Amino acid sequence: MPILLQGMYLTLYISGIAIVAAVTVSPILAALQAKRVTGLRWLVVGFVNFIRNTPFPLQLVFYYFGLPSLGVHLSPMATGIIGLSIYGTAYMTENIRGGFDGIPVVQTEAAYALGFGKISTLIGVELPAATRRSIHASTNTIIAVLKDSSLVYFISVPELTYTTMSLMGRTYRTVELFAFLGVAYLTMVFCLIGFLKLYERSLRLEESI
Amino acid sequence: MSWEMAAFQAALPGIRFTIIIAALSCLASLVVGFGLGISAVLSRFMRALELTYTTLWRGLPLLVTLFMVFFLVPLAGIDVSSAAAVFVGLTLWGSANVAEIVVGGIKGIHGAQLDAGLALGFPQASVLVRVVVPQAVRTMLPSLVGILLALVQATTLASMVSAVDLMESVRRVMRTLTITSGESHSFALYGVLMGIYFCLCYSLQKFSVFLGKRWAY
Repeated sequence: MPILLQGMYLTLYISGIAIVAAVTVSPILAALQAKRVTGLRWLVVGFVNFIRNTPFPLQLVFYYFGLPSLGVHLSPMATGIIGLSIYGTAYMTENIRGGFDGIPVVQTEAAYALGFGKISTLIGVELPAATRRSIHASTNTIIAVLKDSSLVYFISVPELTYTTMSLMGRTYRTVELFAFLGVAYLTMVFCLIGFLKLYERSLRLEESI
Repeated sequence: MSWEMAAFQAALPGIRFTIIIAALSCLASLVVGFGLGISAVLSRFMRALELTYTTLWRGLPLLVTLFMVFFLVPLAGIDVSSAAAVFVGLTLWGSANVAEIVVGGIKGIHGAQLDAGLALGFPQASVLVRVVVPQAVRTMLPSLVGILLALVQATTLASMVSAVDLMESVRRVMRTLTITSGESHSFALYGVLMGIYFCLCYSLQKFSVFLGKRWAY
């Protein structure tokens, strides 16, 4: 039984790192894309579109089995975490870029009129506005990262799905283990949804728009 | 025959599997999803059912759903082939998402449309199907195409239940190449594989954005 809890812990651990990475890196990438920083913008656009339009299992398999032929050898856990982080970052960047599109131009102009520089406006005015506008989509992405952490099963990372399936192979208690698996994931997802909804609600109270 | 041609020929069954399963599960998802979504708007009881269905199949990871279909259903006595398991699993997930989109889309159409239809004496279901849904489809289209793309990408999970889809057939080709010629060409083959998925999905995505802008109200 502790094996399953270890699996759940690993799932939360991998997803947690990936979510933190995505949430910290994607505003930077989204700002680069929205502000049309020449050169870097195309890099970001290419990266985001490539990751969003290729299957996540294929990406994982590519990192784990394809990169070694280039000489890059990573452990399964490292590949899983990096792959999930890249996946989450790409989706989150797209969400925040959408948030940027929705900012009223008035706010940016007002900031410039008050003497804010380009970067100060970005950090103080636009990024908070963009992140707030993208909360709904970002919530979906965060939950998707938690659920798609099950896909690192492909590369033998002993997270929840892997440990449950291997226990199933050893003990043949299919029904109980699947019930546990389903309940475990649904609980994790609902808790996460609950937290994110609370956070979303706490933002709305302050927002005057 | 060069290794590229051999690889392509060996990957053909995988291509066929992916295309057929993606198309079938997309169609089935649309049918079931629309049915669920429309009936959810019509009656409270159906809304509760639809909510449970949607929460279940959207809350569970797709891989877990596939495993459940593949391993649990045979315990009830019905034999499940890998392809059928993939089809059913993808349809469950896809229809749950489509149902949510349909409910949202119908609610997004102004209530006056429904009221006008009811005032003219049409039954509620008839008004929904003939008046509201055709208008809602325009707004729903980008999200629906997103679900289609996700389904196409999700066929790669088929290898986990011993079905041979595009990715699995290419991986088998790599294993054969490693044995016969010593070099697996894995980087090139994976690159081509990702390129195929990318071209397909990116073009569909761009098309749906274009359609969404043209058809927006």
